[in-house]
Amino acid sequence: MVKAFYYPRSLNDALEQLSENEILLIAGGTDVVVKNIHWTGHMDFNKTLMPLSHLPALRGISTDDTSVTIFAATSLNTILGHPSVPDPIKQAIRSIGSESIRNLGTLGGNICNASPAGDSLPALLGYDAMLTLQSVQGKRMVKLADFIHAPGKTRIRPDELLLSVTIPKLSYDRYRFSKIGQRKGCAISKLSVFGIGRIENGLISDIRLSYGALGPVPLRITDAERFMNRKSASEVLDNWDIIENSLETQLKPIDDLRSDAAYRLEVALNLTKEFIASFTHC
Amino acid sequence: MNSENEFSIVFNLNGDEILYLGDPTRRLLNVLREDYHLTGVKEGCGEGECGACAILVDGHLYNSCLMMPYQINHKSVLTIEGFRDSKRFEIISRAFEAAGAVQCGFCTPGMVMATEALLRKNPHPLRDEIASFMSGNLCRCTGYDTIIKAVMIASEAGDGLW
Amino acid sequence: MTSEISNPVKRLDFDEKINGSIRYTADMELPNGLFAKTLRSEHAYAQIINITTPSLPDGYFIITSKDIPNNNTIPIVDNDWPIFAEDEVHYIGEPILLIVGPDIQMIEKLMDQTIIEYAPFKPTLTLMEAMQNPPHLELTYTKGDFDHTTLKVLDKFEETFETGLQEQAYLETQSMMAIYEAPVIKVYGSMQCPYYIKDALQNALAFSPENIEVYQNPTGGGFGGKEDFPSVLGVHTALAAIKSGHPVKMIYDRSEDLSYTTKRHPCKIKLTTYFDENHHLVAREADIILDSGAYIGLTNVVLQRLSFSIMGVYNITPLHVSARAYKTHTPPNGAFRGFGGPQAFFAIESHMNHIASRLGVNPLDLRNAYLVKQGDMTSTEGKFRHPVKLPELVWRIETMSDYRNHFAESEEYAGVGISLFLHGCGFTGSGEKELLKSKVSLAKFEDGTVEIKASSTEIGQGSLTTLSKIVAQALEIPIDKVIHKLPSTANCPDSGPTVASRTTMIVGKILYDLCGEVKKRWNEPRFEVSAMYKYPSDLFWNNTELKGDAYPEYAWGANVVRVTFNPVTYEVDVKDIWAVYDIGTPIDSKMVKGQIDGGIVQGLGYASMEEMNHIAGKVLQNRLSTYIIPCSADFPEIKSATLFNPFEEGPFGARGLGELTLVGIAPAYAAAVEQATGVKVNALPITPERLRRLIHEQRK
Repeated sequence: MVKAFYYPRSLNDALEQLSENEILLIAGGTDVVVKNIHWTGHMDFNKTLMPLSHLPALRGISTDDTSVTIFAATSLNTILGHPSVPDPIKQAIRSIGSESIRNLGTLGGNICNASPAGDSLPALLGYDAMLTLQSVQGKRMVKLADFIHAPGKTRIRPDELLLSVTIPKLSYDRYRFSKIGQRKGCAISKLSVFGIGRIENGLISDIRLSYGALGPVPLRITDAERFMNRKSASEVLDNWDIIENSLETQLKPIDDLRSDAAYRLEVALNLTKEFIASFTHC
Repeated sequence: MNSENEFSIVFNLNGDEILYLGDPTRRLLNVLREDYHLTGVKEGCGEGECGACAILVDGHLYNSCLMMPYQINHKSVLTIEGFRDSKRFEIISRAFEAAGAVQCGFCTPGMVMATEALLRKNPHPLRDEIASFMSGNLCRCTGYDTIIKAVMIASEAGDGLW
Repeated sequence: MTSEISNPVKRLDFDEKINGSIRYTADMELPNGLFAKTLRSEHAYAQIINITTPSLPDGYFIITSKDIPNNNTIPIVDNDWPIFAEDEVHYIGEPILLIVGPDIQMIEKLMDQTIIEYAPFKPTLTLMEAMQNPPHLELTYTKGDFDHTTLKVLDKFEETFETGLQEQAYLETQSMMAIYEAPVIKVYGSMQCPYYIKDALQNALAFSPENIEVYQNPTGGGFGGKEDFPSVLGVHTALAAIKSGHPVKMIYDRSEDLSYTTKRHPCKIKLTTYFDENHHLVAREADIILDSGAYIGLTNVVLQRLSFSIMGVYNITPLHVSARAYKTHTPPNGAFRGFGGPQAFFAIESHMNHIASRLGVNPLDLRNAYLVKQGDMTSTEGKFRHPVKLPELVWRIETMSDYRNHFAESEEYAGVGISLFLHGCGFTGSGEKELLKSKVSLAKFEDGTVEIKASSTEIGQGSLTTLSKIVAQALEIPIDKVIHKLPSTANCPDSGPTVASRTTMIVGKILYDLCGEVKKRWNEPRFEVSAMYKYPSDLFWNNTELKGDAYPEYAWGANVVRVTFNPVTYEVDVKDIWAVYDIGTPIDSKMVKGQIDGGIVQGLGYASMEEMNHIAGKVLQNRLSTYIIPCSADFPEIKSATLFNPFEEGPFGARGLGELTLVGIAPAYAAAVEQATGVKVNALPITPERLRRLIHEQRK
């Protein structure tokens, strides 16, 4: 039985509630509703439900010279329609669900739901996304990389909400988000690979590689990135066993009802290799 | 406004201004079907996968099986029952008939709403764009080809309407 | 060369479907109605030691097997399917009791408070385990002279094929409602066979037949999944309505439907082909195994159809077939479009492709040498009595698809595959003659309207319209003068179930013939006439020996699929689909296209993405986000055509169509994948994960 429903009038109102009561936050609801639904549509939340998507302070996109900030309750389709959001991020978001899911779902929801298969996460990780969390005590910044620590579990405190996500404006020469699902539309990821980087004097530069649904949390493989930087694509490909080793040790895919670990790992490696090979053409 | 059952929601439902005083956390699909008898909005999966529950909120496509009434406060909701009196519906209807895009009919209201949402956004979509946009509306009878053709026919026949 | 009847008309139910005013069972108001929820077994195989029910508030009821006045079985061909489990449960999800009442949350609470004590036994969960014991069903037949001793010396090629569960995934879940107005019980719902439900009610309640009425409500898809299972729901809701004195409605939610209702039978098929010294295919043997799930139900008929279809479209004699079905402690399997055909044709067509590859010949050339012709014997030594247009089908599909060039010049990671297939229209065996006794009526009214009374159900396939077209054209009256409502057992005679691709060809034929009588009497102001199906006198069937004409007629098809393969992700992309069918005269070209597209996409789902597994007897993929059916983005436009080959005994020349289009597509897809990847595929679904494993295994 839902204990209560609290409709905050303002961000401060929401923060106060969070500081005083046990709250279940809901943005679009595409995850929360599915998790709490019973047969014939009866819903059962065991905490006070507090929605956030209506709060203007939590919606919108702002930019300055060096970064783009997306407020947490901005819908995925709104993000797709905004000129300041970089294409690589859009490619990832476009792969989420379907048109109707993207109208309802929010970026903050995708982040805080912290599914290992959350499709915005690898791209945001690749961008070194910074999260701003807020409580009555004020704001704090956390790297997305440090925020999700287990499937469905984040480091958000009980009195906090996610205010916004900030990403730098990266310049890039190559990017790619590959999502492998069980069908071509409206699918949950079996695995995803995000890569972005520059080419400087024919060498790979500032490359970022991140992986989704290939372990309990999405992750960047920074040692592989370090190996690749300031090398040519062919040199990296000639030493591919080093990259394979790095990925094989750090990616921990599982067998589940969608796919198997061996497939996931091999395809992640293949997609990474294909991405690196794209650095050879100008 | 801040405790269960005392939340008043005002919204436009198929052209009528509605005051809803019920539980703001009931599933919107149930509210539409049970309170307002809008049975054209259907449950096919209960998890936002099949699109049989599709409605327009402020002109955009949503799955009502994932929503609650508080989310439509001060918004305008359109279901098949409200849409079917419009000229655009007539065009879409004729297009679905011409293409033979209706079989068992269960997915059809959702498909019509998705068609309207698509043409509002993109009045002349290419086949690929239609196939992608409609991927959140499942159909088991038609194999989708006739539905995609119907959208193309509607887009052409209704040139200028969207 | 088209017939006037093929000209499309607007579906009679189009307007109410497009404008959302049509009401399915869940949309119908039921004044004073109660909800009901099924309490189901948590064990795959166990004894029920004790049931402790909570004390019930006023207005709540529990329905168990003790509330069944007569037999605790559902007659679905076999009689082994209980309405409620009594002493034992045989699959996870088996219904034990219902809790009925006005409030859903209270029902949930009462369900939680109901304690079932089990003594679990060791379940048989897989075919492998089941095969350690004798089969529950067996059949065997031989065409021609099959002598193992002579054949032993010949070269042979043997291989095994496997297919898995497939869920019908109709968009409208199983739904039923019952109203008891003593002494009459009325059941309304989503169904394909009102009279099957009536028989089930009769068997359970032992009411007088005139006190049982079953009404079809608008039905959101069936595909065979609403052939057998609605009898279970019909009896459940009826018992609940009778005991509670209130109307009762049961709507399964999607996960309940996915987890506990009937699915396509998984199979293992071993095919052996014998060759002479000139590499001619001289004999064939098939060993077929089906997993029936916990109860037999329709399994024997599926086993028969699969066994009869395994011959394919080839005249390779002798043929020896042995087939067995085993029960496992999993939900009972049942009817799904194709009914053994998809399994059979995946095996035989893939086998022919593999033979072609071994012999180094073109797959089409190989097939062409063995195609059956008119006058040839069927697998059960009946006859293909009517013109068999396989050469024309082949020519047409070749021209449409440019198959030979695609096959010869296939680039790396591209492939093309072809399949040829048939589907017997009508009930297997002498069903149309002995079992069904199909009857229809036509009523003519003063205003010149004519009403069709038949138990055939509109489930999306368009029968409401196509049967009306047949009558309208036969009587030469406008179609809006034909009245055709959804059937009920109260108002319509039993024209047989809406299955087996029989509605147009058989029921349509009875109607067509009956129109002759209506025409003669047209000047009478008001009358009603009836007729029964006249089983063609030149057909014969011996059910003990499985000899004769297993079907009154056949429909034929050819499919070509072209794919590309991505070696990075192991994903297959379908680039082109071509299909040609001989279904006699299309009764409505638009509705025929609908059946073609829909069946092909369901078959491609079966071939590539629809995977359903049991883990410890429980269905793993029990939501539409985990049981993956095709969406609009998955497959390209389908290019299809029909051949002109009217069936002289069909209405306006029509044959059956409903299942044919699903039956043949999977092996064409598999063959294309084989060419694109270089591996041999022997199992469905062909997921990227499976392809990866095959490629690793076979490229060693």
